[in-house]
Amino acid sequence: MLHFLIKIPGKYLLLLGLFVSSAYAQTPGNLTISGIVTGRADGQPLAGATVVVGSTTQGTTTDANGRYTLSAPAEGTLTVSFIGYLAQNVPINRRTEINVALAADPNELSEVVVVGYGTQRRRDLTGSIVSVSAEAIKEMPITSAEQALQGRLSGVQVIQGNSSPGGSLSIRVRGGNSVRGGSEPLYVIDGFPVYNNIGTNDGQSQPINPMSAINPNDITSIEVLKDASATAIYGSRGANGVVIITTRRGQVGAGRVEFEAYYGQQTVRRKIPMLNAQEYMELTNERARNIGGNVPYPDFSRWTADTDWQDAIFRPAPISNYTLTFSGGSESSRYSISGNWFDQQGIVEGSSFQRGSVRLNLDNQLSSKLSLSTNITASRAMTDQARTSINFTNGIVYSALVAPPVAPITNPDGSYFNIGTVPTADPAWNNPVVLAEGFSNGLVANRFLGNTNLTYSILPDLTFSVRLGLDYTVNRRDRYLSRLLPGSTGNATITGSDNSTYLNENILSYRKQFNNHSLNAVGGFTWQETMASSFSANSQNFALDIFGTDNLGAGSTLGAPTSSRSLNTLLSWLGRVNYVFNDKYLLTVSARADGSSRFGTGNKWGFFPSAALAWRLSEEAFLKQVDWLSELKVRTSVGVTGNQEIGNYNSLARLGSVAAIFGANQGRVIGYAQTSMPNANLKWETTAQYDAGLDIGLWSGRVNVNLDYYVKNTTDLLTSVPVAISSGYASILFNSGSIRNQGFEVAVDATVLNKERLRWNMGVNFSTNKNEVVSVAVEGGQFFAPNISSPVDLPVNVVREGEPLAAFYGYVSDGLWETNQAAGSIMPNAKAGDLRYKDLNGDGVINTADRTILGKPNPDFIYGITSQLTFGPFDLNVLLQGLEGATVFNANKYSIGDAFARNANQLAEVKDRWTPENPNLNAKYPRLSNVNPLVSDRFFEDASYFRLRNIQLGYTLPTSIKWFRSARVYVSGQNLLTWTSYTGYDPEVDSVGGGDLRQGVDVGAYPSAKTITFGVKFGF
Amino acid sequence: MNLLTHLHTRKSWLTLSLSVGLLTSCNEPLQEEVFSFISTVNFYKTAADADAAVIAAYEPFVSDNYYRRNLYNVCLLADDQVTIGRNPQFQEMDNFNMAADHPFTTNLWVQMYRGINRANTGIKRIPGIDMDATRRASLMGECYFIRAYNYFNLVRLFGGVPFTTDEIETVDQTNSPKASKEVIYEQIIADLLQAESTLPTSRTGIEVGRVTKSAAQTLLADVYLTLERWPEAASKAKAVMDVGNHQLLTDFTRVFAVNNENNAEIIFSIQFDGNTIGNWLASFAHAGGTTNPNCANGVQVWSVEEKSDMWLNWDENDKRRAFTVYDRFVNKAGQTINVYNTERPFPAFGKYNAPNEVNESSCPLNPIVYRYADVLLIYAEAASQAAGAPTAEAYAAINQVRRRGYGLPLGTVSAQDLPAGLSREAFRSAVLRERSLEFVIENRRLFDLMRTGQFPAILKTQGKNINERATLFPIPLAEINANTSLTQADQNPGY
Repeated sequence: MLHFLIKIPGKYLLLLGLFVSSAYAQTPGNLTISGIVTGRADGQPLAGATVVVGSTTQGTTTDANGRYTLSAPAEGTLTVSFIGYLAQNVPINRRTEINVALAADPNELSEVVVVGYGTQRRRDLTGSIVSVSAEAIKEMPITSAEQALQGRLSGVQVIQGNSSPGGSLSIRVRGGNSVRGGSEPLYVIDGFPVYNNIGTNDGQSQPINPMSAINPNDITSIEVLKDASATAIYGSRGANGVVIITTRRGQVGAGRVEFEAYYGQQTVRRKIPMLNAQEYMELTNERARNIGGNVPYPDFSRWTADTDWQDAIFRPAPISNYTLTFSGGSESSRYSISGNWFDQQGIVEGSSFQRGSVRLNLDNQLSSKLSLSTNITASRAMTDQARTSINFTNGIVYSALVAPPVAPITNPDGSYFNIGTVPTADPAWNNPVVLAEGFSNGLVANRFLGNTNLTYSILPDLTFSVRLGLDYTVNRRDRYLSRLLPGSTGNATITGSDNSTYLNENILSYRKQFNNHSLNAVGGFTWQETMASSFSANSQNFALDIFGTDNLGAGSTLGAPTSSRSLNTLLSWLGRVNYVFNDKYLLTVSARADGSSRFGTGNKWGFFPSAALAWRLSEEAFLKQVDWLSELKVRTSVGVTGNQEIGNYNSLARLGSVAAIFGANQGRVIGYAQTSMPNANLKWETTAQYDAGLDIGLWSGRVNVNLDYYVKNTTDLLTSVPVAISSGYASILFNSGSIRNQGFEVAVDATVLNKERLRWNMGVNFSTNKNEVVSVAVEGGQFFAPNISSPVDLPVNVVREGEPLAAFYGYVSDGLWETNQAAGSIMPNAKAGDLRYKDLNGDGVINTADRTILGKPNPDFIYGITSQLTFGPFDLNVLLQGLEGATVFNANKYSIGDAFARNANQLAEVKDRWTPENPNLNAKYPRLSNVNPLVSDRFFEDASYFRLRNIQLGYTLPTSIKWFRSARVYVSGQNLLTWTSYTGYDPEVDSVGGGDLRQGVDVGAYPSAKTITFGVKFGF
Repeated sequence: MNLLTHLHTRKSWLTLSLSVGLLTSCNEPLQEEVFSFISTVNFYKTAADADAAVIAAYEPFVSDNYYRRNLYNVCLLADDQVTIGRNPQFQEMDNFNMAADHPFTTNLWVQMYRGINRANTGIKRIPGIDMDATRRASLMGECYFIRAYNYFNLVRLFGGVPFTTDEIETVDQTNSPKASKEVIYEQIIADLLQAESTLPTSRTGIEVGRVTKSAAQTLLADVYLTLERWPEAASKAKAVMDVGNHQLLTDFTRVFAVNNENNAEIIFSIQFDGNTIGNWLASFAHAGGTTNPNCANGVQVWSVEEKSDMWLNWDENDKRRAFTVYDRFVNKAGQTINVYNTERPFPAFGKYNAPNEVNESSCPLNPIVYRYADVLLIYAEAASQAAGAPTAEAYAAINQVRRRGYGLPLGTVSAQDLPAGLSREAFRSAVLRERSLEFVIENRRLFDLMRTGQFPAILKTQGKNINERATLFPIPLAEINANTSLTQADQNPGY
């Protein structure tokens, strides 16, 4: 594919050249032509765009409102260009008004790139930074901005842990660095650094995504800083990469109104083929005969139901989004105000996500020397979570797979059927519809994110700016288990949390050009402090369900309330110098010193330096003559960054409160005991990264290629090091152990066609990452992740030296036994037709020592292909994306593909089984029996996939319509096609999520949807 | 108060940081300010602190890995009366062929040592607190009891184990070396003699549930019994009998009734309210899932071993039987269900009933550590062993238990009394059998099997594929790996 892409553009360029030159037949007679130049993506006028006549130098630039007027030959051509946009040639055809909408140039995307604490010209970059434009973000309906990164950027992996509305995503920039310190990148939203602590699925509630507070439509660009040269300026928070999000700002000009809306339908992407009632009864009877018991269904006619439990809990669900933006302003004051309403109903009954948000961005020139830039976002996000927990018996999706199809949903009287009463059901199983109806879990997240930046020009080249900001979130979770749930007498819990982060940054910036030298320096001091508090109250035993969580006092059993408060402070000094000589030799040096309250008393301050060099060979005399080569830059960087996500208070000896019950009235009594051992040397995790890159621009930037190779060594991993458990403590947090990530990234962007009516841009990116645990500070060089919940009850991920992080671990299956086994066999209790496993260590018995590495949750490589095709008023955008070499532990299958070991309903393919009548040793499934399968390679599946993530067809209406400045309609589809061999709902799955070591596990995860949306965008 | 100081510092910080670049030393504001917990420096100053330290030493008992369920999973599954038909981890325990990294033993070990470390903390810190001397001695007595009981459990299950009587605060104080059984028993006895001399004879009001002098004496009697120091065991049991604070209830079932906890028979039990802290006893014992009216969800983690003497030979007329075990039950819909027709075709235990528990982990019953029947049976066995033949008092003690079992008046001679003139051996067998029926799923049976040398051989006679080289549970692999004072040579035989 890569080969194809590099070859093709050249040919088209040649063709294009012929085309353009033939159009240059000049005819005499000049016209006065005027019009407006706008950006195609947002309809905003472009001030300062260049409009020239044909290939002459005669021309003008647009004013603050994007207007231009010039004189040109009636049959000539106008060439309209603007930095960061694709130039357009427009035949005049005797028109006197010509409005031009320029498309952003994906190759030259943001000629100016936002970097930490400043901006830089892309050509001056020495580090590895990739960007996504507003246009790309809007190509598909997304809940939060990071979804837009998927498949578009090299070295950036987006992991959709569960597909529930508002559900969280993990971002891995160049692989995972940390065992327990968190591997999420730092987000910087309009200058405000925010750590996106996405949390894990605790079996009760799934984490929600804090980033979903930001309306993606408001974003103009997202930059991802990858190498140490770019991230070291963020010091102890830079090791996992930095995602910089910039929102739209007002432009000088008349007030503009823009309305964007879409509406879509989502349906479950794939249903898992299961046995029907008839097959279920036949096969459970066969199981009973195999193990010598009474058949549970002697009379099939007694069971008339044939319930498809997946149909019972899945539903088609609408998704809609409305954004209204006002913008405009003068030289001294500009504004952009937007309001947004987003409503996504979930494809699983009882789940939804809604967001209402308002954003206000202001730019004020207070005096010739003083300017003020303000960003304020206020949002309220409401999530209703279906109980897609990781727990076997009470997750909706898991239950729908396990539930016997012979059970009806309701009794004849309309009440819900207790599926635990089916002869073959485990009494603990719940009716999936009852789980949906009987469980409500609503989270309201209110977020205020605001900051204002006052800049004072001390000298023309020297500015000082002070930023003050507040990120304030108030969350409340209301959880109610109704009396419908078996065994429940009504259980209401309200959990509230309140987090505030104050930010103060004081930055001095200096920019100077003299002769061949260009210098750009920043330095400053910052302070950031987060206080978090939470409370929770619970009440049980309700006489009625009507109150839900609205009247805790109505429960007759009150639970113990809990509350907590924590505080952390980060003080930093930072500095960076970019120096460019002759536009050829580039040097960047940066450093940050971070002092964090989280670190132990012996290690309060960490120092994070970086240096980078780049050489633009294309500016050298010997290459300047090569006209097809417009850019050739080699760059290399080295630096140290850290990860301070080690939690608060972990370095201290803590006395925690513990509760016991005493007294004639059995009251709670609180005691205090030391609950953790101190570690005065606790500090950040350190990542040293080396990066070498090559940027190539061909044919005046028509084709751009970026290549990067990197090695990241993370040491001082925050590890829970076991101590002698006879101390009463299990472990102590220690900095020890190391992980290495290395990889190779290629990104190619090409303007394949560039004609007035036909334009085609394509991008391809491909990234490898090899992750290896180098050392572990545990005896034996390995330790296990927590157990997967019942019925697995074992860990399936291991952290082992020499293997990838969280590698999978289990037995190796070896077909079926031909005959009944006896003493002396490696499996003396096995019967003919039972699963056979390999005795890997050859000790004559199958035991835990026969487990081995069976794969890894992280892929060998990820890739994405983007295409934007514009044909006249039509445009077609396609995003294809995939990964290769990842494995998923299909824990669902451990129940629904266990050949009835626990009587759960089974996959339809279980019909291909060994039977006494047809003892087929090549059957896919063993003898139906009550023998539990071991956690073997049968349940670890290749999760490689390639999918049509998005396809969007748009039509831009003629701008001559009265009142409308611009108008576009589109239809788009997501996840319409997926190629994978994975047998679960979706290969993109990570049920536990977050920084947990139980990675790549599919246990009752919320399935992904297929979506079709229709959208409009009007500018007034 | 904390918050106010904090806001003050924040304000000054803002001022400070606005005047950029003047700072040289920045460590002071980076000291972590704590809110929801306290540090060791400002604690252990008052009588309330001393009490809080003692409460903390009790707390491991109510944890998941101790009396909430895990102690039972170890002690019950491994005995000869309880089995389970599923789940490899539980079956390893049932068959006594677990590996040294088995989570049940490992997690139980941690909780026992947590209790010991907290008791050690109390023993070290409380003497320095300025408070009422009697109260101080009483609190110390509780710490001694808790330390002794945890070491007693450890030494019975694991033999010689890492041993310390010092508080462990930092990582360099870990790595306690292993001590012999004898050294540990010596400490246990010394601790209990201390506890006996300082603990109050009874508890009232908010202290109900905390240990008493009788609890210390009963535990000490059990320790002596285990060590076969018969006269001392008999004398400690007799001391409890003579005080008269405790007696048998006339109705066996009332001993375990939800609304009758801390009754006159209970000497020491672990307190649960079922609401903020509940346990799993009822749901783990019963059958029938959510249809069983006596628990939230009868999952039968413990099922009756049908090859046990208890199930096979227990007299149907003994009223305890029908209460303790069953193979059919009446479900919530009023139907009689035969457990053999369900997915888990094993008889179940009916001893723990929590009809109103909210969910399977919220059983409010107090798991019983010692009750008066223990005292009587310890006395009967020890007195007979000491005297060389059963004494009249020994007969009286066991017969009380038997009469109550059959629902007969405690003080009246009955047909269910043990026949007179039994030999010492026959009498001891009778007492041990009585214990096996009286204390079903009360964590007695395993220790009785162990101290009489029947464990684990008795499991083999039931056809279980046991680890024949082992007689004790494995010292957790995690301990051997992390403790620099231990090597694989310190592991118990068979692992």
